[in-house]
Amino acid sequence: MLGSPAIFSDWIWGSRWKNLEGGEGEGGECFSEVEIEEVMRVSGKWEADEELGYRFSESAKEVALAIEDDMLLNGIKMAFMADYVEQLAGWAVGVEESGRFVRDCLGYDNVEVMEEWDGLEALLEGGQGDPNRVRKGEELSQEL
Amino acid sequence: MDESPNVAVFVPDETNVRNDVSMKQFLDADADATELLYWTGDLRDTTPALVSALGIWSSLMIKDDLGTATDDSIHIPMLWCSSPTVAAQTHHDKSHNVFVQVSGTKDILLLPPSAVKLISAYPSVHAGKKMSQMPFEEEYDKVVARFPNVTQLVDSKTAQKVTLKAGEALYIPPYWYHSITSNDEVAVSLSVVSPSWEEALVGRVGYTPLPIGGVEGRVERMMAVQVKSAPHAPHARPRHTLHTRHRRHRRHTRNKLLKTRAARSYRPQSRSSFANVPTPSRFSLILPASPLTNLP
Repeated sequence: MLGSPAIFSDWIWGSRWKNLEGGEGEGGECFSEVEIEEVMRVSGKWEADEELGYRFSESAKEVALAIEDDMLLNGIKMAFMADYVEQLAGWAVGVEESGRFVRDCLGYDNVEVMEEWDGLEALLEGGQGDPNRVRKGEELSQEL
Repeated sequence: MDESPNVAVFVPDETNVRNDVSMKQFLDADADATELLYWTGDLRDTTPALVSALGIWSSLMIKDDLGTATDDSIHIPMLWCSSPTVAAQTHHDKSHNVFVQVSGTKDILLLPPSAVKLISAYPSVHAGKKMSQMPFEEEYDKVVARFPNVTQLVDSKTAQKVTLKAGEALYIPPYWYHSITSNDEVAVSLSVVSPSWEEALVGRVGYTPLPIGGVEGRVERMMAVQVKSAPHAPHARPRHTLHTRHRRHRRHTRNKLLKTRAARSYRPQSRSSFANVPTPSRFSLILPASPLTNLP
């Protein structure tokens, strides 16, 4: 349904952002880690809440439950997931840059896809998680 | 995640549709006035006579399996009053909606949730979230030029169009896209909004302590492309558009308006994008005749 991260982000960008002002162009570089760290530092997003990783993982579990619900129509799942991704991007880099973030940072298949949400929590807490639980999106694309 | 108000009216500043009027002002307005008016609110906040006349609403609640079936307070009867030609841009709501036409007629376009792939919705961080960027009311060729996907939507034959007359009702399922346009006379509609299990399911994310809950749509510069003014065509009737959507929390029903600098002025339609969409068979409800005429 959603395809790989690249397929999904490409659809989000093409469907929801491309026709808006600022949506022209073919895309560019993803934010550098320094840029994102600076955004986080200035906004105090990392420091503000020590339980941030827990909060993200809890909400991600709810997202996973919704996406895995067989009764929920695929169209609803797509709208929901696109909203969720944009909201996360908007939180991370600001709403003005969230479209660019989706296009430039998620639009390739090297985004790590977590199989178990516990891995995300571990990652956010500074660990690397269990490497057996992490697959590259490229690998996922082949499976799809 | 989504904290949008119950009734968010996405009103372009430069439109000549006024939505800041009271129901009394709407009813007292001169029918021949050039100013177009739009009013919406909870039926229960209007007059006792009107609440009584439209008491049928309580039998139109849809009680989903939410564990709250005995609590009728979660169902909301919304009343919509609009001048001729005023339209609600294509959007989706998360709730069940039994849409009853009380007076006048409205054209309603319906698209299933799968249309999300093609409908070019505004981003969720945009003030127009949940609404389509496609101006279906405009001329087909011009819509295609900007949104090539519209041809697939039309060809998919999943779209349905209906003209709802007074006394008729239409059920709009959760997440179905719909646009609603008043025809040549003042139109009054009642929509009975009931929460859906789909809404509850995806809403669970919003109830988790995610720090993104406060992200509000204010990407106004992105809207500028949408406001290219249409050339004036003096011999045809323009369409005027409001963008509306509603949610179930009654506490937000008043004074919560999302506004942008956007302006939308539609070209008169020689052939709208969905001119050939099939019209399904309709069903009717028996309603008191013109309850508004009996107001004290």
